[in-house]
Amino acid sequence: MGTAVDATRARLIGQPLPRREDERILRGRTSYLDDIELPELAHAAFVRSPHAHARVNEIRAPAEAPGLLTVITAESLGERVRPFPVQAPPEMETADEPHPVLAAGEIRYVGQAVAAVVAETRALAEDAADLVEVDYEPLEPVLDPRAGGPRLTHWTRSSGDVEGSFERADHVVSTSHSIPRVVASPMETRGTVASWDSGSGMLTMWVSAQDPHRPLSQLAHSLRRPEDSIRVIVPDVGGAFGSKGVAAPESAALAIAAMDLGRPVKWAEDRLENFLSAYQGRGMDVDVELALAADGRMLALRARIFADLGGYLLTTTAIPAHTTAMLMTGVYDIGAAEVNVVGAQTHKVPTGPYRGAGRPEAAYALELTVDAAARELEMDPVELRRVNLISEFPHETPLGFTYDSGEYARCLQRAAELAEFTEQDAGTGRRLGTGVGMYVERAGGMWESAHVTVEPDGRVIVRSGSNPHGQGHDTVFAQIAAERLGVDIGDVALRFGDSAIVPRGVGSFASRSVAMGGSAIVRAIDDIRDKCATIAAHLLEAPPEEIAWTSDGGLSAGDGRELSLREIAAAAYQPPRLPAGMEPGLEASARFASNQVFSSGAYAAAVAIDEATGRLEVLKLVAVDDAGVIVNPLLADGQVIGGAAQGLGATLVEEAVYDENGQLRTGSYADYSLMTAVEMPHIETDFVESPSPLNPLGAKGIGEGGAIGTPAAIGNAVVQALGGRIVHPPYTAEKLWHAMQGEST
Amino acid sequence: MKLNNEFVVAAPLERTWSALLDVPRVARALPGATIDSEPADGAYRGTMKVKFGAVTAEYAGTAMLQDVDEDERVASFRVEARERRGQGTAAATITSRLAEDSAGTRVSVETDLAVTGRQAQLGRGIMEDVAGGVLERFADGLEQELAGGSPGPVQPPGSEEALDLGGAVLGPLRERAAVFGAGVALGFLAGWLLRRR
Repeated sequence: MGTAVDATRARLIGQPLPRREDERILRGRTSYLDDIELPELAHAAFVRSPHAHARVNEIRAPAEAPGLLTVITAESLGERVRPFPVQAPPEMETADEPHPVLAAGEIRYVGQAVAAVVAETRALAEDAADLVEVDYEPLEPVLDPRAGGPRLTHWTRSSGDVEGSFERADHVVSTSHSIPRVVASPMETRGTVASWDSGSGMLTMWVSAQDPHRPLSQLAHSLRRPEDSIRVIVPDVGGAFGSKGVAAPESAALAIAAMDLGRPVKWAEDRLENFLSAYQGRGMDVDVELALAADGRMLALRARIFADLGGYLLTTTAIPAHTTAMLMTGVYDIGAAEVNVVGAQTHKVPTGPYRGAGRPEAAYALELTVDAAARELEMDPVELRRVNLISEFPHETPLGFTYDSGEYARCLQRAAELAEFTEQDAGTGRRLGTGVGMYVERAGGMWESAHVTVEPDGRVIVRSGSNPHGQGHDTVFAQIAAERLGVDIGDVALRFGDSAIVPRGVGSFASRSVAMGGSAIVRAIDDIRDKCATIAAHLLEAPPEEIAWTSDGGLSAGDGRELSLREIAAAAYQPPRLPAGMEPGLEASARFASNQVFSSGAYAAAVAIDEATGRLEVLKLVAVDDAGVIVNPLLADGQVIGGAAQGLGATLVEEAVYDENGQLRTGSYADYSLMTAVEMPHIETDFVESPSPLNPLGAKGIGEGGAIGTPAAIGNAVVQALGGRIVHPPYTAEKLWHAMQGEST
Repeated sequence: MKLNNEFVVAAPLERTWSALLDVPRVARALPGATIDSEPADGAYRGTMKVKFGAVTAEYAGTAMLQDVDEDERVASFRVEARERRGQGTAAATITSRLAEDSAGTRVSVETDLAVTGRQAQLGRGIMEDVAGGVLERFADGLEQELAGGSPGPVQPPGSEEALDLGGAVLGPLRERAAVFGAGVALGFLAGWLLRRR
């Protein structure tokens, strides 16, 4: 049967279509979590610890307060909930320290939830929460991940002749890095609405999340309920960046409140709660040693990673440092490597995946080390990289990843071409620095689901386990479906985010939506195309091998007789018109599974530092990414620019600052800076497309490259401007000024 | 968090020094503070109410004289308090160093402050402004106290006047608020244009 893709009428894959969901979003015709109103809705506020480390001796709830409905503590939850499960990365020792739903006896960070207070309105709930008296006994907090305190995770891997390579090396270069914690800052904070129907026994949870099925599994585990007794609905989501990948532990307390009260309960956190209690990103110290031969060949690498994991392990807290460890050899052909990870317990809110999730840390520490090596060897940093790049695929790294594909040298060359800069560009009284940073990114992996139905009128309904929270799934997935099926993009409708409507899926994180979710759609549509061809052969009374797809999305018998997809779809629901024994209907389900794919890129930056003030200006940022086949260049560009903005933020201005008592000193945007349009430099983007052999689209992932490549390139530019001195991000004027004074004295 | 402030009181060193060691008198110089007239185990129980913008924080706790160095004219107080409503606490060691000045007495104050709860998240910038505002009012109050000579009535705990620091705190934020305001205005304009389509 002729089911070749190139026979479809329009190439939609590769077209820079604007996001079709934007009109609805920009006109405010959306429903975010806090927009949900239900009859009898009650509201929750949480009593949160003011101490970083303390014992809780007693909790006294007020007997009554205006509008107060109930106060829930760990004691009243009792055995009805248990902590969310912890995901342990492969071969990583992981302590049994899950995050409790509400604090039971011990506090491990400022902002940890101690009691849930439910009242008629959020304001009344907050007032009543102020009346809850908690007898805390403050204890000394541990805040430094290098302090040698208790470990939550531990991982070591050594492969190849590390010791021998270091002994034989002509040069050994060492660097140390401290990458601060940052907050994810989604425009919409976290939230949950819980509603319990005692008649059907169904618990419905609206969660501001990255997908419905991971929160569903967590809640089922925590509440000890079968998964089919919980329905999770993800409404419109105003950004997540990784920070809504797992449900907040508070969600489980909300479910109990709804069941206790027999009324739906809403928790929509405020910005201060989000700063204090939503898991943060980064927070990693990395020491790197690189052994090189006299000609610049990289022989071996050692790295020690100290991850500041916070007080407890949330479901995904252990993952980023493992990703950092596995990616420590980056884009280079290094034969031997030894990496050690200590996931330290500190008295701060837990960390977890945030855009890049371990990848930016690896790229930053490695790429700054490569530049340090270039200085030591007096080699051009681009040339030193070029001679060490991996060029044959698949490539197995000493740490155990298998890179599927890539054209690293082309990315590097393209970035170098776009980054031409001269000393005059900095202007007088300023020091110019230029730098490159390369990265490789694990993306995709595991599996994803799709269910595609062609309705009798020819409309195509795609239900996806992948879920949007700002990326543009509705447009990109419609492009994929419409092209593969040869229909108008307007005839494709997407369904997301409701566990009662979409098939069980894995979700949207790790830049996996197109490679995994998109490929699942392709697979389901391939099955539908096969069935269409069989039906067409039957209706046209032609031999199946004569049937071919036409350029306008119909099926032809090769003799001028044709059927449109609409005609075939109509017939598919009429058993008398179908071949004997064929099941009526035109739909297919698919679960696409594959190993991880590896995106890559080369970034370049030029910065100028004012000698008098230390003020840094990014003059230019070049982003060359290889995410395989790009479905929508406009959206891919948006992903790169958005990621770069967050990469710039994490490098230049963002830092979650805790004082010596473990108090968060940056609890509002008055103290925590984000990049704004004013500070954003011009970003020049380009793409190299080396298709992944692991999926039918040839796609990898583009969601995180900007956040991964940017800090490394900016870091190297700043180090060059400072004459080789490494400072830790964020590169504030104060730090840079001091670094420049240090040089002259 | 350590904060340093300095002010000059138009009163001679000895009178300022003796006033500073009189805890109820010190409290009286501070608007928003109330205190018991007699100590229990060396500690005075009292309250302090501070208002910044729309936020009022009321603390209840103890104040005591911790160290007195008569020769150097250095005195330190220890204050420990918790929020009347809410979960926050505040603890401070306030060390005052007195020196003669052409205009009277120079008071250098070092405050080692540990605040928890909502107020702690206001950030260092705002905390410094608040502390600076408190000290400024305190200096004025102390001067009046010393000028008046006769001790005024001691306010019983729980009386309602608050120290309003609205101006001190909001000043530094005004600039950012203007940028924010412009953003909001642009947002409304964009929304209006989109809805007109």
